[in-house]
Amino acid sequence: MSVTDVEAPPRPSPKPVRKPPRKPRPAPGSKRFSPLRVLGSTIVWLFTAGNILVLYWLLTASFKTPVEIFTKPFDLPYQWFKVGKPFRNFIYAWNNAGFGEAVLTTVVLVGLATVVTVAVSAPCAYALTRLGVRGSGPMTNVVAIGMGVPFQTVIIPLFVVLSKVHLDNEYGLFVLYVALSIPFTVFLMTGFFRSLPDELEEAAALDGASPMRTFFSVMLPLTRGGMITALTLNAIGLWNETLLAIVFLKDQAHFTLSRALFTFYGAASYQSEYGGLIAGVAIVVLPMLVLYLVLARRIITGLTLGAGK
Amino acid sequence: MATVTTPATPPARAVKAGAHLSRKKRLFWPFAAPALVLYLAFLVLPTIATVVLSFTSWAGAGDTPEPNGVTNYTQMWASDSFQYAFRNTLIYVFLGGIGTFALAFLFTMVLRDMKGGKIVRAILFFPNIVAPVALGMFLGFVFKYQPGKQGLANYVLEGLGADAAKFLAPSNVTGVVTASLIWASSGFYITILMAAVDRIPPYLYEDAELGGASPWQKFRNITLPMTWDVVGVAGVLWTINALKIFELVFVLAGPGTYAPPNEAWTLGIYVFDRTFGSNGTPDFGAACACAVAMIALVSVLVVLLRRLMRRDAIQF
Amino acid sequence: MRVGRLTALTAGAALLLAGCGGGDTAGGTGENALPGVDQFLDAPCPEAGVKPATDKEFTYWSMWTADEPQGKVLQKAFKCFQEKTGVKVDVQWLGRKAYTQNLVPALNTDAVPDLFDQDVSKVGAAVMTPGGTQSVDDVFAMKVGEGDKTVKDVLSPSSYDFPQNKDREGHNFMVPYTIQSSAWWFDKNTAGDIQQPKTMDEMIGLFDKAKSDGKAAISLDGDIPFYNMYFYTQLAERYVGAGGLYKAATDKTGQAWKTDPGFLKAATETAKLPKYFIDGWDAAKFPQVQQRWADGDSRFLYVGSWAPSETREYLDKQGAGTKINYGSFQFPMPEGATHDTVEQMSIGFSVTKKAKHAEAAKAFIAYFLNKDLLAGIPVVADNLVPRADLAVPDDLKQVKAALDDPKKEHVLQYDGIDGIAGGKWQTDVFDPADIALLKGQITPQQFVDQLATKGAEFWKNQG
Repeated sequence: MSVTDVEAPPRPSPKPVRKPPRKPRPAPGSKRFSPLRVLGSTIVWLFTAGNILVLYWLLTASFKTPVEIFTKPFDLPYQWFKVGKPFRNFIYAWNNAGFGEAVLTTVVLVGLATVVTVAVSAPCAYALTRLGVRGSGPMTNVVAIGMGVPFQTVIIPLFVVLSKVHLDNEYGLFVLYVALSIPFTVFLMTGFFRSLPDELEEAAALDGASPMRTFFSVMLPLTRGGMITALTLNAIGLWNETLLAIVFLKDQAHFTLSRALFTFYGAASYQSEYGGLIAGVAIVVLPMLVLYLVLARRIITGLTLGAGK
Repeated sequence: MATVTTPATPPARAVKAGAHLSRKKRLFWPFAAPALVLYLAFLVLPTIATVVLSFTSWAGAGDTPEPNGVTNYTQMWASDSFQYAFRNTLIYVFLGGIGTFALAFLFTMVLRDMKGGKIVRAILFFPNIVAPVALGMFLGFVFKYQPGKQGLANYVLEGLGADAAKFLAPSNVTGVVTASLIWASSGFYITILMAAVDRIPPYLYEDAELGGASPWQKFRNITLPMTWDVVGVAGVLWTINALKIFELVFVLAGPGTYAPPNEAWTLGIYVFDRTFGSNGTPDFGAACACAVAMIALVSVLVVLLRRLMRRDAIQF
Repeated sequence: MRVGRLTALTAGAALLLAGCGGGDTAGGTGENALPGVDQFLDAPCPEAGVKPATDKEFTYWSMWTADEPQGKVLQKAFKCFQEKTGVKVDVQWLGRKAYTQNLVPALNTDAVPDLFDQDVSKVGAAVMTPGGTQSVDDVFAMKVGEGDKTVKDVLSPSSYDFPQNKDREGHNFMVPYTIQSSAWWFDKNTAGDIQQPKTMDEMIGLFDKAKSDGKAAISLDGDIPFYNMYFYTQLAERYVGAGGLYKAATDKTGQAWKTDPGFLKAATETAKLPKYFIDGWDAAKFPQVQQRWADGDSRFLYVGSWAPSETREYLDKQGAGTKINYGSFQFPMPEGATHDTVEQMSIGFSVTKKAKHAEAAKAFIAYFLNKDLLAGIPVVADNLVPRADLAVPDDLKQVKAALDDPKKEHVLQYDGIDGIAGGKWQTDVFDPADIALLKGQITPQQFVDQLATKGAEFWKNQG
């Protein structure tokens, strides 16, 4: 934006170079490298190494024979490769242990259950936090307490009742998954809704939006992060849920992955089918790992935003 | 988020607000009902049923429940299995909780300034997504005791010159499980705490350093107070989850197909054992009694925790 | 988008896996494979002795999984049954825990299967006692499809005619198709051809020899209470006979443990064994110690007659050519013992009380006991059967001889003490004392005293 001068600009005087401000000298008594920090760093690296070790073990063991698993747990697999059937364990788990069928069932069941849970919980959380109805606070607490009920305690009454209406199968399980995820999801979403400023609602109201519109077009999109967090955490939880699946799923064609894994786990030792078992575990764990890696940042921001309030 | 300044026309606004507010309030039931109904039907009512059933003698195998007063409770209190389970559960809640949170704070402090801190944090979250069955198997290998072919933990111990330890012996297994629990849970709580610590303005720390504060003093006077609320919420979550612990202990302390020796039981395992019978006949009345005990325990602990953590909120 | 590519990759992998169908065949594929497996599976179907008149199908919840050897034998039987009688079988392969986790809750409803199986103690405790089974006495009169022979004619009476197989009205509630026993197992290749020791000292001499040969003597997975239980129960049974342990355990005063000197003597004999246990038995995680026996680290293993089938698969999948030449022997008679016992557990079919297709289910039971079909159990699954006229694989011959020996007294596995009070007696009273005895923390006298006092406490508490 220089103005063109007629004359050539005079030689610019050297601008004083701004030196960065000097770092404050450390006050006496406080060290940069405290022993606590060194200890902390060591532990962190140990833990990280440990977690990576788990993944490594899982992946290598799923390609091993039982003898290798027990005598050389941390070496690289070779026997199946030598024999020319490297994927034998996975094929076994997929076909013989029914994991192939279970994948489809689990994806559909868990996917639908998490979506419906959020669809039902988000409006409820909104209602409890922003609609200013008397008694919302205690009601929220009552719902949150539901998180503390262990599943084992409600299984048999639920089973007896659901079997009377012929819902003691994957449809009943679907309803249960939704119902039992509601406390946590509502709790999480209330955190998000509470953090939204009031002014937005007022602005929307002033613009003539009905409360429904306000919710769907203004408030809900803003909590998208929270919804994704809820979806992901519920998905992970339900994917690994075993106890209810054991009791309610009796038709093998409709087993979920963790149900199939559980039966397989019980039977594997009788046939020493440990390679297949770990391959089965890998089939159960890896999709979650992928989901987590893709959405890690979302999960973490979501959790923290909810917890930050 | 820009704030909208509205021209002040109080009466008109009040009317609008009144009508709007009442329309908003009418939304309450349509919005909240589905979730609340499901919650009531599938969580609250069965829990009430469980409480009622805990005063009956019922095998849950096609017979009818017969009221028997507090017999289930007295039998439960007197049984060794329950006492072990109760003790172990409390150990996991308290020791495990303190360990996890101490570790989480430590990690938070370190990870903040570490390059690649975000990636490490993501890796630390990993055990939360792995099925406990897999973790149990893995840890079985790590803690193996076999002279000549030690598991990883003993391998390291022997490398350091110590004697190999029998980690999985029933008398030691509670310690091993607590350590495993801390390892598996820390990622989740690190995440939450890190976010809370991230929100503390850095100038507070710089001021403290200028003033010559030691790391412990900084922790006690800055970090802890500023994250108190979040620690409270995380503490409640931990208590609830630690009380329910079942799968990890079941798979780690026992062979995985049968229940572990009763020294290692938790309340969750006790309920499972009475529901499905360790060798056949279930005793559902007893399972319900323990379930009620669990619910009571969790309520007491959460109330205590909230009371302990309560103080004025600090806005910043 | 990243997610899109990932999905494509996974879908591709899934298709690849689905395309390469087929798992392993039963009976192993390597050095240890059983002969005759394929022969059995391809053999033609025998005729059915009983054809159901009205039922065209029934439901069966299996304690096996489809890929287990027993599962394969049953699948062939279903195929044959449908071929010969037109009855379709709807089977759910639910695994060993099916009876507690699925069947028992289902007893509260009307949605029960028609046929199920499990061992007799478990069925008795979990299903029969609450009234979930019906009498199968009529099955014993059915023909098996070998001329005029009925089920009663072909089964050994000791496999079903014992008190624990009777329901409240005194009828049988289970028809066995597999028998299990237990023994000391060793590999003839490394230990030589050991003969049945006649005295405890002889047996301990074998253990000493193992140790001097540089091996551990006894493998034991200490985290399985049932395996820990074997030693004491086997020895005690030889002193007090069938029913003795059960009577002492159910004695409300607990004094029975002290009045019969046999219990103390058995404890003293048991206490001689722990110093031969492999190092690390008490910090074990099943099946690591059993695998160590299979790998040759220790010489002897005391478990049930499923030892060969389990360890065979373990070695087999390595395909490394290691082969075990299974040998076995029973506990010898200790000093002063008067009962020559052999342990037996019957596994078989039961029919639920509310079964809708009981007729078809019972007809199938009779059909399965046909020689040509039941032969699958020893041939494919390497288990014993209740028919004396069927051959068994070499590794089980010694155990079968012990079971067929008319001089031996048959005792139910653990004399049924594992089922007392739904298993609570074992967990609360027996296991802690047993482990302490095996670890050398208490003396045999203290062991017996502890059983007495804790037992009395337990029964008082039970009310």
